[in-house]
Amino acid sequence: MRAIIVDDEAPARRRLRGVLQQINTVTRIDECASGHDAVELLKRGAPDLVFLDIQMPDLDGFAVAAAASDERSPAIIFVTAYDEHAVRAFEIQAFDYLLKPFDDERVIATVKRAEDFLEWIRRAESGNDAGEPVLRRFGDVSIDFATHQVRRGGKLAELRPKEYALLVALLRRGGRVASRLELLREVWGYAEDVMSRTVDTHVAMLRRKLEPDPAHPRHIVTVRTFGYRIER
Amino acid sequence: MRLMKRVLIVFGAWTAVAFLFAIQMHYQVVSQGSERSWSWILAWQLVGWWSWAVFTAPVCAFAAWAVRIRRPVALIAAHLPVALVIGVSCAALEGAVKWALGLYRTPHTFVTGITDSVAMYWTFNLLVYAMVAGLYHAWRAARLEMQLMQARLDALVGQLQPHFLFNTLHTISAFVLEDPKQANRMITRLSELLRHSFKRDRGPLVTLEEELELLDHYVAIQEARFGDRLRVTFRVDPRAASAVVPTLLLQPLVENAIRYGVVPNGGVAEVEIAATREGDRLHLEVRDNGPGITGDKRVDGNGGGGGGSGLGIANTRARLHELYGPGHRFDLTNVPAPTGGALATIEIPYSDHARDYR
Repeated sequence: MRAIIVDDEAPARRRLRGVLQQINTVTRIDECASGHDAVELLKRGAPDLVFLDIQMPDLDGFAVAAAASDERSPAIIFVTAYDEHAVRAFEIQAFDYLLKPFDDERVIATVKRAEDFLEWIRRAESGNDAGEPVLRRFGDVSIDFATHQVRRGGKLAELRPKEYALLVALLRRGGRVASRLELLREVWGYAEDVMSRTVDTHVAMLRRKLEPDPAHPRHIVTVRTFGYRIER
Repeated sequence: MRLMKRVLIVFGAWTAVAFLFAIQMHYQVVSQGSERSWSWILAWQLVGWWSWAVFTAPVCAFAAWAVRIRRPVALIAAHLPVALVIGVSCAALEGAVKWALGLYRTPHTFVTGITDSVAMYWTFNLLVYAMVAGLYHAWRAARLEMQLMQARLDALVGQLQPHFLFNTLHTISAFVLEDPKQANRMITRLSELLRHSFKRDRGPLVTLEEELELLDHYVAIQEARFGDRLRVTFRVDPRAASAVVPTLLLQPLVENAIRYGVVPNGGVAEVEIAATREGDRLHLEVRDNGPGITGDKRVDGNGGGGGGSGLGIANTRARLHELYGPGHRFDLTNVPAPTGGALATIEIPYSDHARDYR
């Protein structure tokens, strides 16, 4: 995998490079000190992973992300000191959001998940799937989209319509995070930013039906304060 | 002790009122051709107004309770019956005391002393009630405004941006592995800044010397983060060192200069901090060699990246306004070519006693 690190601070770039060098699937690491350079490199390099600082003097991380190619889109991981931009980051389909300072394990886990995600999305794109790619299984759960049937370990799981819709919304992201707000809009059609526990209660129901241990979910994972994602 | 003080203030105030009315009564009596001794007039007035001193506490207590009523009409409606009861009671007390002291010039029994006094003064007492309640409300509003101003000032006393804190921790975490000594130095510098941030008793003002010391810690951290791409110089007039300035006045300006001065691949960003004293004026300058101010992004916007340095500038502006009013000047300008860059200028009255503005 090819990775680009975009940060205007040299020590911060070295810190991330140090972690990425420990991962043997990361074969090449490029660095950029500015947003403009990053846009250039994104066009030329076709990277798999982009680690983007949000606050930069010339072009901010969001502007750089917008310039990433649509055809072979990389997994964008925002790396920033403060979580005020998290919701916006996930709304533009960022893969993950790292808060500075981070530990090595957090970065390595993110890269591993991104690797899975990229492999899945590339395979789905090259296959003859009609429409957008959707994850079809995680853990011992499999989903038949034609019949709307969800099976766990071969046994049929009874999902209510909203639970099924919520599951599909999460599967469509293939491991990317969905914010609560996005899910509310997509599944319940709320146009306004309403405070609601609806998503959480439905996620709890899904976990009870699909997780081996609903108290310690391994597949329908909470991303603290933002939302949820599927882990295979 | 506080209660005693309040009682003294209330009785003192009503005594003053009694003296004023005594003067008025004296001339009124004279113009009517009759004669009263000053001592009788004073006794008469003091009995009347000290009755009000007794009733001041219940009026204020009710007014304090009544502030929860938001609608003016409802507020007046609530005050009216209380005003009547207190007005009549106060007049009755006045009448009783006047009878007991034998101040009435015409023959009175205890009961007629009271009824006469009530009949004569209850309407006037409604006005006095309105005045007391009104003063209470005005005093309360003034006190609230003062507290609000203090709170605003406290909030405005510069605080470290969370961005800066977490970025610094991140830089330290990079240095921990590659240069432990540098990591150590940064931890020391950051600790100094945090120590200052956590200081509970810090007022809105510090001496320029202290401010520059803090700024030195801040700059050292930024220099570590940006390495060779940043050079900061201090040029301080020794006669200005003991000047009193708002806390963290320069920090947001320097932060801004560094943020926009460090242009990627554009050579070394140079930031100069200068302080001079000219008579009773203190001049402060922060200058950079960056691209200068473009649009309004730098002045009060957060830019695309949502920096927070824009907030710092707005904060600086607000604090200067709060502390010095029209006695200050704060400009952000572009230096014309060939030098270029942005220049922030602050001019405030020179003072070396913090208490002047406390």
